[in-house]
Amino acid sequence: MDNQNTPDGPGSGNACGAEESGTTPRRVFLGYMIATAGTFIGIVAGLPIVGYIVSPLFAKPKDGTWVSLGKVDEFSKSNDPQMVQFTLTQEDGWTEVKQARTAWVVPQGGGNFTVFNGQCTHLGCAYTWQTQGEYAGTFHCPCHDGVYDRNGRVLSGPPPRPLDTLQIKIENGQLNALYEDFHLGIPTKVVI
Amino acid sequence: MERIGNWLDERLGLARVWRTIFHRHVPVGLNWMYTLGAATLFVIALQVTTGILLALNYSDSPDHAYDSVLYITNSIPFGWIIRSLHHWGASALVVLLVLHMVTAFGLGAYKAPREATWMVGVLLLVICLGFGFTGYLLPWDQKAYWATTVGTNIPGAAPLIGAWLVELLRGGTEVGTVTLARFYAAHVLIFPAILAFLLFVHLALVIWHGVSVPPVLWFKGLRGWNKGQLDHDPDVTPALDPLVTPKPLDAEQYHKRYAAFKARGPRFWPEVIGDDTKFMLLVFIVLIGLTVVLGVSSEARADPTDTAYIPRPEWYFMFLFQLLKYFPGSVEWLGVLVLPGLAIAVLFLVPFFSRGEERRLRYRPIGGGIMAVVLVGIVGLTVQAFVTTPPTVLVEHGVALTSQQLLGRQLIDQQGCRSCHIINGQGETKGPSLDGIGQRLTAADIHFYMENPKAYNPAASMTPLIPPLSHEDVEAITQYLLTLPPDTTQAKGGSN
Ligand code: FES
Repeated sequence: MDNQNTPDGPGSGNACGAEESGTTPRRVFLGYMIATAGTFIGIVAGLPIVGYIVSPLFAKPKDGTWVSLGKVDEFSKSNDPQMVQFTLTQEDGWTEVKQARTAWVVPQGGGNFTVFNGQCTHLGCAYTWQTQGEYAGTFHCPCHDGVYDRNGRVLSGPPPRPLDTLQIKIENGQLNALYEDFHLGIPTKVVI
Repeated sequence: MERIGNWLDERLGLARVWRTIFHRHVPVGLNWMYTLGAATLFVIALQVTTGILLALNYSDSPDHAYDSVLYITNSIPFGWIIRSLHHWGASALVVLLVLHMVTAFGLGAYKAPREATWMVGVLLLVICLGFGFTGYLLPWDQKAYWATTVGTNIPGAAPLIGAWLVELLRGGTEVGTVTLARFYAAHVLIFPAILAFLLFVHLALVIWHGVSVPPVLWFKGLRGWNKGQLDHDPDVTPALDPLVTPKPLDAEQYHKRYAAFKARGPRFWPEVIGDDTKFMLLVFIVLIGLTVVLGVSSEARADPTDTAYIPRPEWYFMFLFQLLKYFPGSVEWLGVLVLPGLAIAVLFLVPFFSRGEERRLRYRPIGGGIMAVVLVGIVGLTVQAFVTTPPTVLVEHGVALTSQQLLGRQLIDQQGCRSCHIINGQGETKGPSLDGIGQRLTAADIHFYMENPKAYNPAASMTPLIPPLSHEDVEAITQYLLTLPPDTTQAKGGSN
């Protein structure tokens, strides 16, 4: 009884070779028709589907945020770089999150400053200014021993580029920086 | 290339699977009714695809569900298409399932040896309705929240276990966080697993038994189909004797007869698939049309305190909704739980009530009659429901809001206007209260002000609303603001 339900059963008994292999002109034509319809559906449905999935790749870069770092006078008191911590409110999908970020303020004399993004350019660890010990007088990153001088140039270790400087603005005795994040691990400074 | 193919085939046996599925023959004389199953399968595939994509960006918590759906719709490229396709796909699926089932019934396709195929099909219908019911809640908008609140209340009236059933469905006494989580889990984990299993069995059975022969042809035999050519063919089947049809044919007779029809029929690939494809294409084009032209209507965020909202279920549950009205309170559960439950049970057992070989609808007056009554009943109840239920309205301060005003109300929530203004009794006081603004300013003034505050009043500190909004949006907000009376505190109660 099961013979009748399989393709080799009596159901296909009267077929000639060409009919079975799907090469009669009618079958070839039907094959093309199905392929065309399938391609049409595939493209019309596939375009939005693929676009939807890969859309994060084409998101436009986030705008930087101006943050107030503190009083110019305070930073000028010492010649040592100083770390500033702040929180940013950022859009994250359909929510907003507060993220802690750091920057290093380096006094350059005469009321001038350089401000670095607080992430190591290698893989993003938090580096610190060393006042004593083996790395005294440098920025040292503990993760893979990346070392930068006070101007952010790489002295040794894996970091592929100098520390990322941030744009600054002094207003009413306040030091402000335009905080941006940059792609890590590459030799060029590209804003995210 | 061929060697790789052979190597793989020896290990996987795919060629045999391919031949079994695609090179099988189907009986002669099939018509469009036989393409409904394939179209249903196609829409299921579409629902699975779009559903997975939606799940990539959906959050199943009341705090985030609505925003994540907005994010999908407004922020992700093509997101609105995916969502709208899923929305319309659900309706299309129900329509196709019902058509598929009605035609299978009409064709007597549930009769021996296909009883199990039919029964699994009934279970598939139930699971798809389950998808519809659970999916309805997920956008967490007013419609979703209130329809689910009502829907999950229905079993509550059942004796003894009523309260228990409601809590089981909701995961608590109210529709809330836990309800959303379990509806989501059911919708994307539990039901899909059951669906995959049932679908596999259903399709395997379709391949195993082959599709049924159209009833008239089955009765007349092949001689009735193509006389001239087949008269000399010794295999040709004669017409059935009407005397034998009250009982099923025995298995041997059945298979001999079926084989004769199948031997002369077309092959599944590409003949049958060709016909299926034409219908699928039609379904697809209709779906894309609905998706693009109608989209999904936007609704306000679920607001459990807003008791004025009149919920209504998705259209394919409307007949049940209507049925509710004919059963007075104490026996309501009979009408809405027991009756549909019985109906499903009867549907499931149809193959055992109707076992004779006669498959022609015309000669099955009882079955045909019941089917007609049920169909007319369902369609009638649905129409009745739409005619008698007032459109979903929100009444605030004694005013039923128009859809434009509803949109304005929603935009005010979205734009966070309340962080500066008191609106409808709620909000901050950095800016002026907007309650009763209609008595101070004209519609044109309000619109113009929001469009460009500085042009209206150079001292204004509000940022213009266009962009991001459009003139239409601003007008919607204006129209909503005009409905607000000056003193909203005591009027709040009037919203019920
Ligand atoms: S992350 Fe700083 S050196 Fe690797």
